[in-house]
Amino acid sequence: MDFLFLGLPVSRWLVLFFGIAIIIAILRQLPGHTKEKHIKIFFLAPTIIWIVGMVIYPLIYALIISFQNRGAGVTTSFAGLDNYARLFKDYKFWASVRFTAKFVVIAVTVELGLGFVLALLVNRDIKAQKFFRLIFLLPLFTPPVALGFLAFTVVHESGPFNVFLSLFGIGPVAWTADPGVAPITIMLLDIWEWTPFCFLVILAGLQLVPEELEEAAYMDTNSNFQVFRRVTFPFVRPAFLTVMMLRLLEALKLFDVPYALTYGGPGLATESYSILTYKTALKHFALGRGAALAIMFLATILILFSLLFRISRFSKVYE
Amino acid sequence: MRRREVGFIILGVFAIVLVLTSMAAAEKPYAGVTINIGVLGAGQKGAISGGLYQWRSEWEDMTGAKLNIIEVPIAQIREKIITDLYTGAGGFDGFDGPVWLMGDLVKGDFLVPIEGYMKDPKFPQWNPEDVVEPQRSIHFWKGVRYLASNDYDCHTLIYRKDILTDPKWQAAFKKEKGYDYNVPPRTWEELADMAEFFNGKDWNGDGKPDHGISQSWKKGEQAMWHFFSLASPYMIVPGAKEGRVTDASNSYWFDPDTMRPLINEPGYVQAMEMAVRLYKAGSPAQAGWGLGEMWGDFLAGNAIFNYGYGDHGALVQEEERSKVKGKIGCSILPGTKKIWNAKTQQWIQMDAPNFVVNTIGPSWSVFIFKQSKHPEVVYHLAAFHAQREIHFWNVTHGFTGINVGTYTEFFKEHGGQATIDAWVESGWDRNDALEYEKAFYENYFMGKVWLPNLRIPGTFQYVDALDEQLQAAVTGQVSPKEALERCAQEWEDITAQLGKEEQLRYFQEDVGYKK
Repeated sequence: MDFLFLGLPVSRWLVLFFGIAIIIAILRQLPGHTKEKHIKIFFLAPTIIWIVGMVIYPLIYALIISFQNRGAGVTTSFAGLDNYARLFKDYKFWASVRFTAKFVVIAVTVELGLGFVLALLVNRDIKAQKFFRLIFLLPLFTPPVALGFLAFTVVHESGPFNVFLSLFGIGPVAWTADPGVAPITIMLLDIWEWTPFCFLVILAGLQLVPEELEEAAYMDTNSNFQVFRRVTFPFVRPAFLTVMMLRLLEALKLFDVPYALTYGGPGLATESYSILTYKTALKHFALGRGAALAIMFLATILILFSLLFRISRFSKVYE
Repeated sequence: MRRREVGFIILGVFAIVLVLTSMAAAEKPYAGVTINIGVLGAGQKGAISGGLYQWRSEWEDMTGAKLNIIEVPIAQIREKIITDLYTGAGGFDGFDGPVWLMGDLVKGDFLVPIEGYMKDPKFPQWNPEDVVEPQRSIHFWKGVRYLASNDYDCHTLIYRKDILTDPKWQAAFKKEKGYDYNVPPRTWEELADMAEFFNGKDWNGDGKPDHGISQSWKKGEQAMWHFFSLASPYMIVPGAKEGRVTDASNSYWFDPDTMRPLINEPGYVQAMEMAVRLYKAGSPAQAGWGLGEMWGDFLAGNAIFNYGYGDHGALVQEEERSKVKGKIGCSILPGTKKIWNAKTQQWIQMDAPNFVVNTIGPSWSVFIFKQSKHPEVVYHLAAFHAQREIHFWNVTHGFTGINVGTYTEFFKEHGGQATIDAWVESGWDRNDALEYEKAFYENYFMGKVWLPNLRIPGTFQYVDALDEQLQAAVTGQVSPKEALERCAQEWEDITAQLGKEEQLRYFQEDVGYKK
């Protein structure tokens, strides 16, 4: 039996170690090899080992098993493209894609919009500016899983949300039991948690806008909207695009809150793509199918972000 | 002093020390040994884990061993165990786990049989013949015993006897529905009528509308087992002796000759339609309720009916959270008069309700793993908990989640050895204790047919597939028929993934079917 170290068998660590050592030995034999290059390799080696061991190797391994019929207690066999083909025929796959897509579009849009508005408000010269900044940042410190469990008491049938709504004669609302409402509950929780992050990054961007430019622009246009459009937003755009991409990436990986609060239910109403992948691979031990889901997700992210990078035009600050 | 005398003194001291340590070792035979036992993550006073914590210090004093209790959330139990065993990580010496994992563990040859230990007098002694007959099979696989006596799950009905026997409500029901109801209801149809009648009315006088029934329908919990209990009288045809599986008419899960899933048969569809009806007779939040919330609603006095594991009766006695102590009735689950025969593909109409001996549930018991360096110590722990006195204490203290399952725990009137006074001394209300014991007695001895437990490899996958469809059906996302068609298709896929011939063989072994 092979012993495990940091999750990998010792034998594989030994292969990695000796592989790196061999590479270094070969490099030393190359003509013109200098002491400076040797030092660079020495400092880069831990990062290379980590990336190879924790990123490259698992990625290649996942790609290989995505073409296999593989699982705990199942004899491994070659499955070809079966694991991928069945995804497109699986109603659970499409349900998770629909929910994840809706969640990403709505939640991220609201977070960015709300974050921007809050940043604009706080960026002005107002009293207790630092206090407001701190208050707006507090939700960011909540671990997502804890939020999911905490939310259960808040959205409970007789919890504070429904008590508040009952004052206006509304409800009680089944926040996690109604398939039409449960996705909205997940979005609201995510918006509460991540709007502060958007607020923080956009505020940092706003701080870079030269005041004199804004004043001069206002004198020319006499319109706050034109000042925002022509001066403020172009300066903030790099920060805005950065936070948008970060939120998109995190939102696509949605797992913690729906897992803790609804377990993807009721039915498939809040089953995100990540939850489906997790259940397929690590609950049902259909490792081949789970790997196929993961590889599909990776491919989608790569295509999406390639497109976003192309249209982002980071280098341009002005129109 | 001469050298020889000094030598004798040293030898003598050594001998004395040797004798003393041997005596200590004999008293504490496992001193220095630590075992890691996994269990359902419910806390020190929670179901199943509570029993281990309760008796830990006494067992450790007796044996000298150290018991590490590792709590695992129910939704992660299978993956933690399977991952630990298949990777050889060795995190667990044993697991106080659900019996539905038996097939997975037998398939991987991970379990230690216990028959050899049972005969050895150095281990705590318990009587396997004391286990009620419908529950005995859960300790075995293909004639080999792997588990000692511990928890015995079954689903029974609990209800507000004080409200249902109130003439005011009886008259109002008759006026609305046109007939007198039975207390307890004897068919699911009757129970649904009663739950619908009481739902939305303020029958507990607190000024707020109350519920007809409280149920747990939350995904990832145990809703699917409640559904299997509900569906069983619609699908299991009487006739075979002592719960034997003879063909598709009484095997419930799969056709024992072909492994064809039976989950989309008309009997199940009828049961799903009943589930949807019952869902509407309770709080709309039930789709988000786990067992805790379900029990909470009943214990708070907000629901007329609840059905499920026997924990409910014991929890009613806990006055910190129960407002219904002394007010309950308990019984076997309702049956039905219309049964689907999956073999002949016809409905059967019966004169009397088809009651089912229900043994559904995890029936948590200690699996001993071959990877353990101290399997005998794990068995000692299991046997300690199986002893009659320990088991009875656990049964009468609701927080442990351990339920009645041995003959001695029934009252003398029912052939047991327990007395009502013993229950009352444990804190039970007299009426409640009588009702509670009666429900278990009815369940084990009144049923015409037995509901077999499903313990084949991949059981979690099969029931997980139903879990999703169940939620979708009761919340109106899909029709009952469509939900079960989808479930049947998924069951076919799971069977194909795990190997049809192999799964058929395991299923036949599980239910004891021989062609």
